[in-house]
Amino acid sequence: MRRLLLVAVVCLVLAGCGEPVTGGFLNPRQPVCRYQGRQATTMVVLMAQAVPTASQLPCVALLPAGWSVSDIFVRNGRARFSLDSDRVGNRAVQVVLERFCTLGNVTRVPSDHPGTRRYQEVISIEPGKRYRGAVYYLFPGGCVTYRLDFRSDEQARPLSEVSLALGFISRDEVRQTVSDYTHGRLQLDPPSAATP
Amino acid sequence: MEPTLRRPPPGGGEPAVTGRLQRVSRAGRRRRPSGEAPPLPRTLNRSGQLWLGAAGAVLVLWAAIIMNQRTAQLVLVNDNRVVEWAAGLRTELLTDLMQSVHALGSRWILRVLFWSTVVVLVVLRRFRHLFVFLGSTLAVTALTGFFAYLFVWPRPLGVEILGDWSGYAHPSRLVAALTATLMGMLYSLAPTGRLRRVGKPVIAGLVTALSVSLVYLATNSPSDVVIAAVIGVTIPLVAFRMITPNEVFPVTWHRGSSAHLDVGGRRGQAIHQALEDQLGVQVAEIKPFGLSGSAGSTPLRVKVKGEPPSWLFAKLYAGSHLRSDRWYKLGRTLLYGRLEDEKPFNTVRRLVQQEDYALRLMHGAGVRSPEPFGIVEITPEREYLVVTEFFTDAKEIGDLEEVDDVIIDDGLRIIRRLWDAGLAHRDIKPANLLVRVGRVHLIDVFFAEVRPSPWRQAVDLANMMLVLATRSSPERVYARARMHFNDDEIAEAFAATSGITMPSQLRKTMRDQGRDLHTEFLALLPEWYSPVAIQRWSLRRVGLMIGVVLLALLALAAALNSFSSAGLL
Repeated sequence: MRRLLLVAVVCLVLAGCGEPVTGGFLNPRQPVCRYQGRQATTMVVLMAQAVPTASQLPCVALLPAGWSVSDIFVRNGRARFSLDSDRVGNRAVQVVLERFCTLGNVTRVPSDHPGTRRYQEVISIEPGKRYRGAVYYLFPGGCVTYRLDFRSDEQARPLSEVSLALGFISRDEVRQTVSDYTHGRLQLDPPSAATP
Repeated sequence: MEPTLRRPPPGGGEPAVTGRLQRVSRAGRRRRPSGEAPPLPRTLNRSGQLWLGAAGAVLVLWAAIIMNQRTAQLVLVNDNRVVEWAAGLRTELLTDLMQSVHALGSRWILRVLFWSTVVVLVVLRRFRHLFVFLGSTLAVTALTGFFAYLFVWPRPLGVEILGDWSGYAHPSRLVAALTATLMGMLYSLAPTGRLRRVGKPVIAGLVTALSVSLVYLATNSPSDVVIAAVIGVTIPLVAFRMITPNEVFPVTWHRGSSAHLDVGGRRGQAIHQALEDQLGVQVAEIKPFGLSGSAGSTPLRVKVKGEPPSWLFAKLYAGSHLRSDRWYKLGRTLLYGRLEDEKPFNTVRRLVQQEDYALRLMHGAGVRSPEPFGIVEITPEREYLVVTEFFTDAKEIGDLEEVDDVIIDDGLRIIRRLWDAGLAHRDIKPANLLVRVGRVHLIDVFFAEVRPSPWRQAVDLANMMLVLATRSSPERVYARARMHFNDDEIAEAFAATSGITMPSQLRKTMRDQGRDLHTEFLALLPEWYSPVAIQRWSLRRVGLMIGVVLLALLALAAALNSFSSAGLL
């Protein structure tokens, strides 16, 4: 029985329930905009590799109290992460980076991030219960979508918290970080890749 | 009956062991000197040790990467040099070829390989191999997933990535999953010999092809694929060699029984040698015997050389039997609570010591049971034989057409003797009652308990009466039983016994006969006792039930998560 318990614990830890103490390359494991004085983390580097044309990359600038990052998934062509909130629900915001976006019934609004165009869409409103919408940021070589799903009677405050939490980092900054970290021996993009 | 310190006289004043027709010749025992390997040693082989060494080197490298950033940078830079060099070789034709090879690591190919192996192993009832296959694949996927999460390494930098990818790069989960699946298939499905010999280079070729394609397409670096391959080979290889060594659990293409061990080949030779060295008997032949009546061990009949040849009975116990005993006791505790002593054995050695002790106790108490010949070590702490005399010309009571009053009395006297000696057999069923020269002999005393609960003793009596009645009639058995037990004792016995307290073989026999002997006996009793409840509720049982359910759910979730992220689900 003791051996069984040990095996179960080891399996759980190995399956990802445990929190490792350190890593090898520009940790942590979240797509934060700045970490230990450097721009970007490995996760942002990986996102840059997923959409090699993207001139801007979404990242977490400052998480307000009650918000956390979850559901990070990166593959070639697409990167995604979510923000959970203890007030407006899990996966209240899903951030998706892709080469192209399909815009719905959108309205262009002034962008809060330089170098991007911002569009907004209201998908549905259940008064006092739920708000669903989307924010699109278009920039050279890519598009970032914030899919909003607030299960709350509040809209304004979580929206401003999301604006505070999420930011962008330019590809050039990520390039510089990779180059600095490897003392110029490695570059983010192939030499032939032109800046979009 | 008055208590006595003397050994009670066997039934009817006759010797406890009657009609022994032959004596087993024992001479030439040999003590294994220090340093000499046991009869059936377990070894990893040279290749296993080499792979373990390689896995150790991987661990050292990982530790260096985690503790020293310069090492991490060095690995990244050197990896990228190779990837850049490979990218320099790119041509349209070669890229198309590598894209096709890359499909080897596709989720669908992995799923087909993995699930077809699972299905084949289930159909062949090779559950031991199945569990090792599932366990080793889970270990590989969980370990590579954990380290990928720990390292958070990017894909090769500075090179155009041509292949599909997802998640972190190091180690390559694709290569690890494919290697582990193929290794598991080889060691669980391919019998030793040509097929396995050919299989190894084929696997090496497939894994190398996938690895080269991943590096060429720049989805992974060389260290990602090499380390993944080392993990993918080492864990299944060590698991299969340690848990299902081929000498002991040979891979065959016929349906096998999970409880019984193979006693041919290398293991058969080891048993042969161990019996000669440790018991001093000259073995002529070893054969499985009465497998259907025994689920907790592998029973064997040993032919001993001599003029005339004689026979011994042996039960082979291994780690699998120890685990079965543990699960059985855990199951009983969950289903009924702590009805009896449910403490599991810690080692195979203690398990066989219990059986040998029980044999000697029964024999000493004058119960007609096999004379113990001792314990024989096959693999230290892993496999042992419990050897006893073999009842030649004996028949299972269930194989007799009918039993007469002498046999009925004999069976009932066994229970009386057990009661007087403060013992319970706990597994009275037709397969454990042999009749030889008109006498009943009690075998398979593994479950015997000293100073059992009165309930358990009563169950032994009821089960003995039910067995005897299957070959006579309840009226006849009841009439004879009243000569050995009073009405209260018999009524208590049938109050203590219900469906689940009867061994399954006994229940099946009654079902086949279309008789409800329990009810027929109850109808004969002058007075009924209220049925004895066998459910024992305690905080411990409730806690254990909740714990087991939670653990099972967590383990299932962890396994599903790991398999799913490795593309196997």
